[in-house]
Amino acid sequence: MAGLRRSFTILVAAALVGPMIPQAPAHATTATVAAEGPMVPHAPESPSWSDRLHLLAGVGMNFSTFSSRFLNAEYGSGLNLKTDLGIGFDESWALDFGSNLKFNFVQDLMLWDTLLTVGLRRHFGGDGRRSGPFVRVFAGVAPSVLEVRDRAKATTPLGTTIDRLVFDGEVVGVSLGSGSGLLGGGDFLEFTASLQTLRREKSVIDEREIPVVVHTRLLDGGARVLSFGLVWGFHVF
Amino acid sequence: MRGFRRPAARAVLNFIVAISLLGGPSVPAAELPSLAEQPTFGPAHHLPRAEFTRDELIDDFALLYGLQWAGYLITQADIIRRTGRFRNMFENPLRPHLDNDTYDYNVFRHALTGNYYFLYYRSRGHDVKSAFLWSFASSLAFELTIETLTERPSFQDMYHTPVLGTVLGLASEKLSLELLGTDWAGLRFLGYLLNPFAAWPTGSAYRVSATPWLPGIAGPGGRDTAGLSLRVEY
Repeated sequence: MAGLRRSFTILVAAALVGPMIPQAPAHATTATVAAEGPMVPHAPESPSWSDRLHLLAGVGMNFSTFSSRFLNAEYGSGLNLKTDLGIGFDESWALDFGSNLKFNFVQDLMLWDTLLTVGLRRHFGGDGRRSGPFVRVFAGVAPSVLEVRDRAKATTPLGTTIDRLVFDGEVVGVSLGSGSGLLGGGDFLEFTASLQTLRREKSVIDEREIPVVVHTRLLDGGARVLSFGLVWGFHVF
Repeated sequence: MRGFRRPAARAVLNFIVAISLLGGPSVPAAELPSLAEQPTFGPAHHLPRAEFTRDELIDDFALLYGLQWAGYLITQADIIRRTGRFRNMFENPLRPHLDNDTYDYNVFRHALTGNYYFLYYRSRGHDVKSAFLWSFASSLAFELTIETLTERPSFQDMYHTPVLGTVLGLASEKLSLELLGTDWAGLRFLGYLLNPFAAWPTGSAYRVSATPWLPGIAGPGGRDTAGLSLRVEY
């Protein structure tokens, strides 16, 4: 009787919780349904505009040299975050909208740049999965921000009222890369060289989280940032 | 015994008898298998949907749009009071610019926001590319129709919110699913914290599986005579 009661307990528990058969993975369920369905010839779907949409992302290091009013021929290095969003025309050519975030520490200051660019990408060879070498030429805008922290305010001629200097300008550059094979063809190594020209300097203070430009001056075009970056990236999709 | 002549009372008595039979005195309480005590959690995964109706897409977008408004009004109340103007909403969308914000806002906060957009659409069943595109649409809606109450649309934000958000969202999702498949409640809680949409009340595309394990029950002579493995996916 005790064994019968235990068995009954187990059955009640099973009924309360669910079927005792391990659930099949989703794809297996789908395959079963497809096999049981009517045998209708499968018409090929027309390609969607988003089929060739791709997003690449990478992280690495950059090394930069600066020349400006306060930083003459200074060198800096730091984190590099890079993304490219674009449309591939075919297996060789693609048009990308890219962002390249560079963080550099120079003396007591942090300078970070956002390179927002449009680029043309050309893939060479490979196996159709864009794992071969590629080159990308790009141009765009590049706001650069010199963050002025408390210590820096005291040790530079910037004074104590400015929170940061924002430089507007343009950038041109080229990237060379190739699939690294570390993730089975989905990843790549990319080397980038870029040249920024700083055209305008804005002095910005934060008034309770709202950035306010208190002074603007045009630069003579001699202020430049030359950068070299190396990132390891992957195809997000 | 007069009271038990009533049907309800009889039902209660029957229930008590049934319970007592299930866990009768011949089996000590400590030996009874418990579903709640020893579940093991299996792998968690995302189950994308192949098709959406137009109403579903509109509803999902509208719900997030409402949440965006609520979040903006709550977190930016002070800035809205100081600089918010109704006419801004008509003038600012036509004047996008490169903003002068700190990296804290432009990189990290917008990436975090985009991360939640992405995870929200993933929880509705979209694949990665589709979730990115809907995140992009929601991000644009925020920049062009909500935040314009106080400021001009920002090119950096329009790009970084969905793009960095998708990259961060994929990492959050992967880590969250790993944590949700562990047996320690603290780690599973962390998994839900990383991806709250895995616990979406009206059903989520994230599937978490649990296996309430009924250990072998000691039979005569101490031998295991019965065991049961169940798997529940929710």
